[in-house]
Amino acid sequence: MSKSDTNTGIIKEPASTPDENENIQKDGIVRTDFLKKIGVGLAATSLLPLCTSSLLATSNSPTNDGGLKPAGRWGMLVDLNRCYGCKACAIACKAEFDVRLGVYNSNVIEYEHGKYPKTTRSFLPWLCNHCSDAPCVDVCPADPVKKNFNGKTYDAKATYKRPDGMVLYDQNRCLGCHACVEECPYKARYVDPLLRAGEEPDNQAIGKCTFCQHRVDRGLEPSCVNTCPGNARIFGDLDDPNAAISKIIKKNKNRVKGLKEGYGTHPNVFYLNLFEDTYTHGSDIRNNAPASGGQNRKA
Amino acid sequence: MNTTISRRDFIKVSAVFGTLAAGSQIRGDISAEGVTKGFSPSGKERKIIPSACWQCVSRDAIECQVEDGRLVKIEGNPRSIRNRGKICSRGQAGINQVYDPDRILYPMKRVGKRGEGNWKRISWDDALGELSSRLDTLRKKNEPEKFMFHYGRMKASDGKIVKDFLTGFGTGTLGNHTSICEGAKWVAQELTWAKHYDVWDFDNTNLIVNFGSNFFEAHTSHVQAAQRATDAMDRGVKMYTFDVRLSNTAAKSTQWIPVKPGTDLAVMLAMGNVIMKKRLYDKSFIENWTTTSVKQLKKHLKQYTPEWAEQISGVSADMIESVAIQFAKAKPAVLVTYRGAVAHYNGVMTERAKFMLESMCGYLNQPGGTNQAVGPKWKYPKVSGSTKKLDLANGFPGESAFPNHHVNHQVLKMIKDGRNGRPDIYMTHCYNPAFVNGNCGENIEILKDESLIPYHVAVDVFMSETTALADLILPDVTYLERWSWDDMISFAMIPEFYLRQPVVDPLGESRQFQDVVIDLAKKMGFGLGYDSTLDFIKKSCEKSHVDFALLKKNGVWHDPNAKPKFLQHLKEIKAEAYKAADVILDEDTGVYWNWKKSKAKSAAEAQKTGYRKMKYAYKGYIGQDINGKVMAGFKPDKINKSGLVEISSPFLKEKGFPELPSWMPIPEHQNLSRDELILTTYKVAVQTHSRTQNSRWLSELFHDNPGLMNPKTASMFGIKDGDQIKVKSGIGEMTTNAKVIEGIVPGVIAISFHLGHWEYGEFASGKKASTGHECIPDCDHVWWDTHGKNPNWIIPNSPDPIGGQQRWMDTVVTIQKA
Repeated sequence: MSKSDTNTGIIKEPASTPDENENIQKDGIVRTDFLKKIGVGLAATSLLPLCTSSLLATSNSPTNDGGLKPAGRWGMLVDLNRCYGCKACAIACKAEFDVRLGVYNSNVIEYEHGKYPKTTRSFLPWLCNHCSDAPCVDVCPADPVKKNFNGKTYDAKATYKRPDGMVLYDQNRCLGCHACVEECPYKARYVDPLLRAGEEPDNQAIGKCTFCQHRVDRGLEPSCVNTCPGNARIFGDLDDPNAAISKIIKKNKNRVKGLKEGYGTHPNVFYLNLFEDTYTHGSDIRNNAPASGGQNRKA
Repeated sequence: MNTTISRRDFIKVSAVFGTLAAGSQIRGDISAEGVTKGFSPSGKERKIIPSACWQCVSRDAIECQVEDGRLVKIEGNPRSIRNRGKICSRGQAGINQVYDPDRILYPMKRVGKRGEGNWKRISWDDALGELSSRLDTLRKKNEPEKFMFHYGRMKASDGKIVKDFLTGFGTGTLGNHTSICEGAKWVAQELTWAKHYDVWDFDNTNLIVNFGSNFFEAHTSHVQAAQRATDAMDRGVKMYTFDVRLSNTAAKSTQWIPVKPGTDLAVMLAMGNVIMKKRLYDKSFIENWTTTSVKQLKKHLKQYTPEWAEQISGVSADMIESVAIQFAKAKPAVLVTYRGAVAHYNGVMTERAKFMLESMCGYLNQPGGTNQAVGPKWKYPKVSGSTKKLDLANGFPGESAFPNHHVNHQVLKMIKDGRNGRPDIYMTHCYNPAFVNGNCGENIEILKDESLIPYHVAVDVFMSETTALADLILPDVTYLERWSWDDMISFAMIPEFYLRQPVVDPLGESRQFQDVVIDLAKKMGFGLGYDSTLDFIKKSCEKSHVDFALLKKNGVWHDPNAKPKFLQHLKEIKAEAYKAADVILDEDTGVYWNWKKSKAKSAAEAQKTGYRKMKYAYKGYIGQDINGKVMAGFKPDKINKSGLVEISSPFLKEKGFPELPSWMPIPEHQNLSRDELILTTYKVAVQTHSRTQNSRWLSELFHDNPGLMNPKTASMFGIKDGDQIKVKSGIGEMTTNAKVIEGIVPGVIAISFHLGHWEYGEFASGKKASTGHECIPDCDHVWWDTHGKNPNWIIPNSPDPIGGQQRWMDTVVTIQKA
């Protein structure tokens, strides 16, 4: 066996080519061909954990094939009371995408504040905000093409917003101009130190959080949400009033905020009990890792 | 259903169903064979294999995703009642261990001088031929004890198999590493309470009072504890953390209460003073379940006023009184301790004070309090036989009164000293004394000296600083390539059986060490009764009535009818058990015990000598008489303690220590001069001990460990943030940088461990392994050029006088601008 632990060639498969709803059935439930063949019912019953005690309920079943259903607008809520800064999310993301050293799709900012002995430390997980008015999409110079998602037609440049709210990129069409990296007010995009842009292989490709589109389209929550031991990250459909994320946001309306709301980007990542100083003054890996090219955060 | 839901309600609802958050257990499209499509960004098929983590001792249940024969992702196993589908950053980075470019993949024999880094690749046949011939020589000379096996991390079935081999061979010369962890905590528990390991039932508690535990970053049950503490705080439970430094745990607490190093004990004693004075104690528990009385406690604790403790600890008397009152009134509260409190001269006494406070309030074994741990009780094949041993693991005579968990940081010094003999063959396994014990320089000197250690075999996956000083290296597999059954305790208070299985084929010629010893035993003519590790595991499953196939498929199993095991001490013992043959009542303690399990030769000898004095009497413990009823009590381990909580300890009294929890000042900290500081160490969330720095994703996040100090401290020495400084102790000097922060007590310098490797591969030290390095793409993208400093160079090896715990937090240093 080879020792190399990356599937990185010079040009990777597009990390997020939208898999245009081929597996989405009319009832809106996500299923794969494979499951169709063996029968969902069989899969569901045969894999139910046999150790079902009062502590384990069916909702804990790995075959909860209901999973995430196609959404109107995907979003994330980070409950900062429940985040204790362990950075499992940052590493889970590194693993999910085999992200190169020097760059991150998601990480946690730490900020120590207050004079001794009234000192504390705050944490702020960050990732792409999948903005409703995304400046990165606006500046992308690639020509738009028509794409179809869930029966909806939309224009897609190399960086584009899918109708369900995900801000994605098509590496095959990327010119490597890095305008999107420069334009993002959250510095959530980076220049990939290894990958080349598909359209202009002389240039480096870009990288960013995809909300784990490849998982979400199969009904799985994003990798960072999956591992978060504090259950601080809630992922769901902001357009669905019955989704947990929507209920929590509604209930805590006055305590829920996005980052840099004044910028007019309308982020879809929200924070419960946001302490924005953490973002402004905290210690951020993006300031330390020089390989990140354009990712260095401006003051 | 209600259309509005708060975060708190939501968690509550989720908890009822055993999950923590909506969607957190959603798994999508997995087939019956565990094959899935679409997890991968590339859309390729992935196989899901449940297994068990080993990045730290928590050993959480995991599920591994394998694509084209390569491990590509690790997640928590959602079926686990312990870590409930979640793992930490270190668990996520486990992939880095398998594909470390500096992994040792072939047996290696030293050429040139020891430690020079010149190796010759040899075959397994040659390696085991050489080793077995040396082992045979010892057996023929009837000196099996001159084979010393010293491990750092080896648990559950991994340990059982290796120990079978050692027993079959005839050596009892074994070393472990507990004294550099939390040995004092365990010894205190054995003197005071029950078999070691205290589970804090955050799920049912009303208040958490924490002395020096950083369970949001580290801890032996990190994810289990951290996620439950998060739930508790989310439902409004307060947490007070006493710590020298603002750990993430302190930061997430309701309040961080800075305390001077080694003075947690004073605070606890003063809390006891307040609780007695204000009559907030549980009289019935004290009188029925402890070896002390309300009267004795009142009299004893009177001296320890909050004002007295304020002078010593720096914590205000008001704060101590407030926390004490809240603690006593919470009903229940849980008192948490770890190394911050116990890795001191007075560590055992501090841990005893924890049990005193919890006894005083009747919280022990209650839902919401500190509970006796439950873990799966595996039954397994065993090799029996007599062994001989060199007494090397218990420190120098008189150094520690109760070295129940040994004094292994003194082993190398004991070998140098020679009075208890020296091993001819010293085998280390996942153990790195050159780096992890105090006084690195001395350890290295001894390990290098062939007149003291003639033959050193290292069984390891990576080039540790100690493995670099070996004569022969046997390449072990990583935890993701091996079979084990595992047994970590459960915060759900229900035992969980679980399995570690290979998720990928072993790389290179690495071999699971357990299979190697099984082969060695065969080769040397003594069988172990099983053919392979897998055979051992299947036999264990049969004996334990656990369905192997099911375990292999699900990774975990627990009895569906089991209930959380609270109130273990109240279990009534049936008459047939305490009236059985060979069971006698010890009038002095009220203990029923089976004398045949002790060293007694007759019932008469057992009666005459008495339970407390008879060697190994605790092994026959049946139950405790409580007002005429026989109850399970707090079952002893390693010490002939009664089934009561021995707040007053006859064993300590006998050895000349205070019998009740009492103030024990740290000698070196008394009368410090103005230019002397206390050096303290700590752990972070993204590294484990000394053995994850080769994980590139982790070292990317933590690769520098400057000396932390308060601005007040810095200004005394004219030091500014970022300055290079010299830190000097009684045994040496190190250079590092200063980081001036508010979150630390003045008078202290804190340097984390984990870092300062000079081996362990490129990502840990910048140095490629001398046994070979095979680049991966990220080798070209390492953007940091600092690898930190190891404070152990200037911390002496120094056991605490009661338990033999390495006194990590007691070293006095001076600093100056370099």
